[in-house]
Amino acid sequence: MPILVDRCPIMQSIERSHLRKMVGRFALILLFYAGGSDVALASPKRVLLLHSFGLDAPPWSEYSKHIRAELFKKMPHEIDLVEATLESARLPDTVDDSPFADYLAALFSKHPPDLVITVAPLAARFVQQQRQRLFINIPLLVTATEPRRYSRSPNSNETAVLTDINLLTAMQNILDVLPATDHIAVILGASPLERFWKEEVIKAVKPLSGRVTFSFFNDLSFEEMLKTASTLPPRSALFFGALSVDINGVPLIDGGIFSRFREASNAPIFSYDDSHFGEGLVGGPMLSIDDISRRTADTATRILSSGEVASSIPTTIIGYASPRFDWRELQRWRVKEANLIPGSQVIFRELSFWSQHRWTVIGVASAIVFQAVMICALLFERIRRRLAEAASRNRLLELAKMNRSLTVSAISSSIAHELNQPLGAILNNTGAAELLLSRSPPDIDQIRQILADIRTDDERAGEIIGHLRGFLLADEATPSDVNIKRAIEDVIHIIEPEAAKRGIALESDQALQPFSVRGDRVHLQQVLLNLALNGLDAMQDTASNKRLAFQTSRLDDARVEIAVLDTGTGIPESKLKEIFDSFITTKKFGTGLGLSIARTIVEMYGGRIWAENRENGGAAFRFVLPQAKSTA
Amino acid sequence: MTSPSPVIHIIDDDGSFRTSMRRLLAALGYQTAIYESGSAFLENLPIDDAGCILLDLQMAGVGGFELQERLGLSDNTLPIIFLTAHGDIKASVQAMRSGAEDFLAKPVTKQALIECVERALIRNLERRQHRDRLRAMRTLVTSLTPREAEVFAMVVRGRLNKQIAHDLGTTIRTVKAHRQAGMDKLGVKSLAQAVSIAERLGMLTD
Repeated sequence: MPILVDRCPIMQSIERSHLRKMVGRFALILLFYAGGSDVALASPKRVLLLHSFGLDAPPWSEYSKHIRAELFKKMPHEIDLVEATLESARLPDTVDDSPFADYLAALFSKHPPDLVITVAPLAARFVQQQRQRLFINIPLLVTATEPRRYSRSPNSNETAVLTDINLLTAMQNILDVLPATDHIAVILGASPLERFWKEEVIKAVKPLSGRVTFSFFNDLSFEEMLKTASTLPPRSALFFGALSVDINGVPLIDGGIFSRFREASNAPIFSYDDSHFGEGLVGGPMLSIDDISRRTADTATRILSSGEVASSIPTTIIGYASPRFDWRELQRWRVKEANLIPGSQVIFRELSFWSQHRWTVIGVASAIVFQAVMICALLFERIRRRLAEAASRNRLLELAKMNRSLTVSAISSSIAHELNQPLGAILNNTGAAELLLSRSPPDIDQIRQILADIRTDDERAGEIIGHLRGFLLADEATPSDVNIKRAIEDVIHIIEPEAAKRGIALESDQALQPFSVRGDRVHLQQVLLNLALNGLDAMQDTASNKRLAFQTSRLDDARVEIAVLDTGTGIPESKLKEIFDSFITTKKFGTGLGLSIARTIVEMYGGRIWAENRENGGAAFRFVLPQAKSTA
Repeated sequence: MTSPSPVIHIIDDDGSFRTSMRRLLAALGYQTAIYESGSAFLENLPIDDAGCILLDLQMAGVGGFELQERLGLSDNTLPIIFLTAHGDIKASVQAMRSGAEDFLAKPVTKQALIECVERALIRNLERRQHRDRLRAMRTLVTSLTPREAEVFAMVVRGRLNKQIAHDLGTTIRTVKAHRQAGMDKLGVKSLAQAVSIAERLGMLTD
């Protein structure tokens, strides 16, 4: 495992005047590598990794990172890897490198490196130039360098892994991917190398002239670069070249530069290498830093391990890797995948929501479906319940009607008697009148009297029928304000003959108040009638003092109590509660429905009904109903 | 024997019906009397018993059946026609069993009423004639001397003169004389006639 031992700037050990000349800082990283256990005791191979720009300057830092990793992976020996950076690459060519060479000479005077690897052309050139006094005959491995910026020294112990940057291919890729592109802004810094590349681009893209225009950032400050990148005209693209310093000499070597462009840019960004692939590059054919680093490490291993002579190893030139694209950027810039070069690889494909959260989605969806089903089921139940309630209400109304019919038929003989009295009288009167008319002279006065009596009897019969008809024919409950006094009087009319037949006196409180309660008139009459007949029946076996009384009283502002009192045998205490249940009867021939229906009706109108025994014998049935609001 | 004109006694607690019935019967030429209850009738029992009773079955107070029962206890010759506003079978059977003359349902047609009343009046007449006969016979029987009555009672029981004389401690001749005198007073010519009178007067049962 690599251990970062030191990262101390060596500058303190160097004279200040030199330091200024040397321009810039250099940093040294010493890394010790503990290799395999079998070679743990062998002396470590010392490798100098010499940078042209800063240690943190992409893409170069990417090369060193990968090379280091590859070396540690491949080398059987322990490695003492020293990194140093020239820094002067982004400065004018006039800088004198010799103090830095002195420093390196001093650093490695006792233990010269086994291999020098240079990253980027400037370091290679520096080594070549200082070869006479520095690193004489020490194998040199040049990497991350374009053939245009490097020529192999014929008599030197060196080899190279070069990168072929085909600028035309790179630009062509932009046009392939986004065919509408008519402008490409090329990000290049103000260093000599970066200016060199500007010219190279101009040369390379000549075949594209007329189709696309180019602009370069070499002469802009960093702020201006960002501003320009953010205000590019439509159908523009950015090409990220090399940027180590801006026109004002501000070093731009840290890793955050690309992301600043990425944030600012209003156009897609392309590049020639993959150091920022995944950070916002659209992609295309690019140098694979990983690939180049691996090849570099391979070559280094051959020299260090196998003892091959560097000069005997031919120069390797590595071109673009097969094209790769960032799926997210393709989406962002609405690139059709059909536009991509055949054989392109699209990566960073975002997993669809489904594949990422499959089980969550299934779970949530199931929960929602389950809930929906439950809701539907509950709604269905609700509807069913409502229908059932309606049906049960209808049935109750039917039952109530049937109960009325039964009630009336139970007292029908009394009613028939009541009705036949006036009918009989009318028939008699008619007969008498006929006979009177046949006399001469007829007794007109008496006939007139007869006719008057006939009318009276007829009205009387009509009244009886009227009472019954209202009671029997009512089908639907029509709640209204019912005058309870009138309802009681109506019921008294109906049961009067039956009471008379049984020798029972009917009493209604003289002070019956005209309270109004909310309900259906017929239903309330039915309650009263059921209670009254119940009372009459209760007095069946009573010898004397048979009385049935109706009373009303106001409980409070909102409720009215109505009582039906009899002087009968009373109710066994054990039956007081259950007497209102269906099919509970104390009578020989009762249906057991009368009181049950009475209770149902009372409760339907928000009231309550109960029975009790009176102190002086007999039973009292009482019910309480909400008083109608309109009651005065 | 002069027959008093029959009176139809109307007992009904329904004033309107009572009046109408009286009106109709009056128009038909009957004499009528009206009572609003059974007790009112009992308090004013007619001295003259020609006629019949039209009795409403359902009445408060003394009801139809009760009245019928009480009349039955007295020596009543007035046939009772029940009137009911609901002709239920049970009531009519009970009425007929306890000797009701007839049973009419309200409203009743004039024709049915006339027929029914006429039938009742005939029955009333028969009953009265029968009662009058019995009364006459009883009067005759009571006109016998004690000795004659004694002999008569024994004769109608089939005792021979000889036996009677022996029982009474007298002579056959005397018995024969009493027997003849009694037969003469009763206006009968044969023993069979005498027995018939005794039987009708209920003298043979004890």
